Amino acid sequence: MINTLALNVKTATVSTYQILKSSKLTWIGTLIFVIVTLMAVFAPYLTPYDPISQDPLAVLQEPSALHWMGTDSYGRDVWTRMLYGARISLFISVVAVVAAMIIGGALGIVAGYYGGRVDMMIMRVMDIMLSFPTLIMGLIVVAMLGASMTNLVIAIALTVIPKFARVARAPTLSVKKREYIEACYALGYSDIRIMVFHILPNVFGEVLVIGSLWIATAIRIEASLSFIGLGIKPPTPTWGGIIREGFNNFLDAPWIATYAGLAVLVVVFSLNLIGDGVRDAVDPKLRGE
Amino acid sequence: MQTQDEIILDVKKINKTFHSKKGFINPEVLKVRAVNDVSFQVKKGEVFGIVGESGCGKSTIGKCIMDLIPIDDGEMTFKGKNLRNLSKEDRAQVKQDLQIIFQDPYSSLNPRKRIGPTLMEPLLVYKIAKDKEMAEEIVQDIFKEVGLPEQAFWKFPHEFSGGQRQRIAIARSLILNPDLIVADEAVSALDVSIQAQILLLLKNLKQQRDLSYIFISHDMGVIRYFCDRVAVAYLGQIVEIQSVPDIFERPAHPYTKTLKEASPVPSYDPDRTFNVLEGELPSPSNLPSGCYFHGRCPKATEHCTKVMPDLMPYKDGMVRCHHPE
Repeated sequence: MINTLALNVKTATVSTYQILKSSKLTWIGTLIFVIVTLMAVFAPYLTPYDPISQDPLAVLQEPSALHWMGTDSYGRDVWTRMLYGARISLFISVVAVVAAMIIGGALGIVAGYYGGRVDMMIMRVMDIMLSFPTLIMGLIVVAMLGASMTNLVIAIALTVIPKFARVARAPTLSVKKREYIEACYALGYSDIRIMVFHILPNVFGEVLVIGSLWIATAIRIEASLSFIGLGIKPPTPTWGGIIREGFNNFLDAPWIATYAGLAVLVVVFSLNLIGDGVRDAVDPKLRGE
Repeated sequence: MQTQDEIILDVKKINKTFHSKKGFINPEVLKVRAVNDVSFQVKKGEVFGIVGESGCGKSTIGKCIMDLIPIDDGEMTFKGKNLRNLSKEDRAQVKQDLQIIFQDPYSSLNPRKRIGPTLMEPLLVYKIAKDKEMAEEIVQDIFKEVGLPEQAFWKFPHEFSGGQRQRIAIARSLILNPDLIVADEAVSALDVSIQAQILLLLKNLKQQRDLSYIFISHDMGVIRYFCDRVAVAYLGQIVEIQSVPDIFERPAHPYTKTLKEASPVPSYDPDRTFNVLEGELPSPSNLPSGCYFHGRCPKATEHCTKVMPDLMPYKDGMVRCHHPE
């Protein structure tokens, strides 16, 4: 009757974890990010100095054996401030971007899936949010809720939500017209089931890669909001704050802003590597090559 | 062919018009009558074919039945239930009893989902399987039935050939144990040798499971092999319904006749002449008066240009023509 057709494919199933493991670049990215995170966590053990107390005798010193990254205009050790700053910068940017990714991604999928009026309403609200410059958005949030770390996270999340909504909506529009989604209707699945189990896996990769890029921007937004006094108040160290302070003395002491900028660069680079790897890992077609 | 006359699906005068806007400042609304006054009945255990050229609305008819496209008016009754007005429980039941196989096996399977879980999902949603182990067993049984290897369970769609994918799509449509399957060009995307395998599979499944099919195709050869009765669609209308031997031996509608003559035959005849239709297929957004076919019909009279014929009983079937043969 019917022949059982032989399969011309490898029988072993490759797990997402194995893919991540096999990609060297993803490993490097993960390693960098883990090291930076660990350094932030164990900051007190990695430096003898205090990040806040000032030393008028050691102002703007060049990098040396005593101060690996030099000192700033208040005589504080830059290496120490970088370590402690990583705690706040990483926390704020990661939390804000992950929150924005979930909310914006969900809004984008809902808008793309239902279309029509729902789409119109959600996307116009997103457009309005997009039209506010980051600083104005920050001002609004802080004016309404007051300045704190939570509100800084909210302000950053609000500015990136519309970007995620846009990124999630576009693939949803194309995916929902595919026959496998029609097959879901034919099987009588609920809208929520279709969106979560059938559309989301096809949208996830794009959102994730964009997410790794936006963490960099979140660090930058945190810096500019802190700079105008809407975020973390000095003397609490943040990477953005260190760059801003260093910028004032850039000609006399270029090391301050340079090291902090390099730190942002390295973290963003590692996140991009991770984002790329994860996208490849969740796309079954790219597996195994 | 079974002689039972129990009607499983009764479609009465359904209509679907698509509206599209042309222009921006002062949009001109184009109305495309994709399904125009379509009525037919499908008997239990039969294969009901719908044949026609591209754009005649045959796929739209299938999707209307599946409620993938909402109809404008008309009535559809499936196993005694009005499809347009279902209670929640009835709707869940109908979704299980009425399934569809799509044309393109490449886009009808979610590329991000493994085959096994895709097939297990409906069993768990409708609580046919108590747990995952039981669902897996049912899926493996279906795999055997449609000729898929056991290892297919944890694979992704892209790891299969077109024919195997279509087997998976068939397995998905069978998983809820339906009574009627709409096969929308189910073999058109496959090459000829695979077509034969899939048709044979569908035929065997029909006998084992007492299924009925609505088989939508543009291929007269496939229709002849597979169907019991056929409806011929032209510009959104059904112009003829006949049993398969009759429609090939004595087509009543002039369009059916040209459709039959245009399909390739397996013997080489250098003297074969083609009775090519004159004129172009009219646009469904700008339909002619009278009979839609009169502009291309060799038998058209003045009466045909003015009055639209009804779908009338003729011999053993139905035909929509003023001058049937």
